[in-house]
Amino acid sequence: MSSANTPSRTEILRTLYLDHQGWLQNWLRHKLGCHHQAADLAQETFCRLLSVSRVDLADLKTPRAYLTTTATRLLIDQARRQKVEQAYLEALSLACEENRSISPEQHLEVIETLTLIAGMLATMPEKPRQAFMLSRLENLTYPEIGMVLGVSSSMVKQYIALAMVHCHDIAYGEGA
Amino acid sequence: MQSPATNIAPGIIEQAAKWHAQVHSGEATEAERAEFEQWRQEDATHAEAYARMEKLWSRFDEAQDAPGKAALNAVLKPHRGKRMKTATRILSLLAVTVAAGLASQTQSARVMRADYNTGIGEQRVIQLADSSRITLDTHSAVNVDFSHGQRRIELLQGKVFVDVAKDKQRPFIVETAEGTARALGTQYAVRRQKKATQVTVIESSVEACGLQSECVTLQPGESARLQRGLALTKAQADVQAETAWTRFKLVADDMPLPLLLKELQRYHRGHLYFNDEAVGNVHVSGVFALDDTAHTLKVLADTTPVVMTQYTPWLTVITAIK
Repeated sequence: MSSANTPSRTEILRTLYLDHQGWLQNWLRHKLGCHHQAADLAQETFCRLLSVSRVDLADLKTPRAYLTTTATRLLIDQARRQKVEQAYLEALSLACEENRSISPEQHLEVIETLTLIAGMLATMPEKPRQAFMLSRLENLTYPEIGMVLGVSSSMVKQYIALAMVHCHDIAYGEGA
Repeated sequence: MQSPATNIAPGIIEQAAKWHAQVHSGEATEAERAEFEQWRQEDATHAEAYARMEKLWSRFDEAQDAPGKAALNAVLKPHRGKRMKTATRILSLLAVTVAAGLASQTQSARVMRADYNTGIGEQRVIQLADSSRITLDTHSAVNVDFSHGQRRIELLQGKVFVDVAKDKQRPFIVETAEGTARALGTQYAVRRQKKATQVTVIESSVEACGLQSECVTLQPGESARLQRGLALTKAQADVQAETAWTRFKLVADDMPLPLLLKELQRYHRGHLYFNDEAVGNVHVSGVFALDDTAHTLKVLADTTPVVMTQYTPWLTVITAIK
């Protein structure tokens, strides 16, 4: 718990919820055309607010804009997650000779991680992303990557550093 | 869960990322490592920033196996157009030349200025003045010289299939940097590889000569390999397989995958990256389409134990399933 002296985090959240929950749900229903999904997503949006530590909720000047942004991001994440899971399962069934048995929890965790890194990569500029993936996933050396991308290996190094900063910003800074 | 050090100045994160990229390059010198250690230890936030880099890096472990890659692949290229636009094509041509390092500068200039040449994935049938016909394979170039009572084709790069019109007075000669193949009236194919030339005879007979080596006469179904500084070698050839390319087909009979991929590469816009050793023990049989390499690659991915990850329209990485 933080040491807030004026209204606590929970109190602010409650006010936010009371003031905007109905509006957000309505907005989402319009967007999604489905009442249940809208209710779920609105709920999840507020849950997300609980877990983000860095945003000063009391300072929000345009709470509704913030809420819709958060909800939209959740929506994108969900879609991404679905795609990730589907592709993962397909590939798994193809490669499944050594039928590895993993628990549902482990499976969930893998999908979670993959969705997260897919999110990091999806928003990364093209060249750094290629350099990063070739290095991290294909274990190519910097000179090899340089050859593939047509740049010098010191450029490759810069790309990879850029990629890491990008990943960091997504994982640690909640951004704007 | 809020740690007190949630906020680290962006400058320090950038430094940490640079150090991380340097350390992982495998090229860091002793001095650099020492300098890095010093940087890391001089401030608690430096150490924390670097620890985050390592943590982030290890998160990608999950994506290293085939299903993980497939999953990322699915989200990263949403709906790329089926056909590449002209701009990408030009880009891929450049990428291939750079990556494969095929021709020296002067050589590639000669190829570009050649009398006839073909782009990647393209074939051309050319009717010559004497009514001989030559078929140029993908990414090939020839000069034609019919002056001084001769019929001479200089193959600079790639493959050519010739259907020679009979002319007893003027022998028909295909010439490369490694030697010549000369015929009176016949069908034969000449292929220029990196530092060798392959001559295959389909009909009648051809005389193949290396630069300094003796000449041999080849009968239908025979082939010879000409290479600088090496004696000429003669072998039996599978004519069907050797000429299948003129119908945009590739015939593979227990062919090692790297060989097949190298052949496909000649027709494929975009670089195919693979490790010879890693996919070397995969063998493939079948007839594959050369005029739709994307489809052929997909077929290979579906039927052999490899994963194809397409990073961009011009880069596909092929790895073995562990």
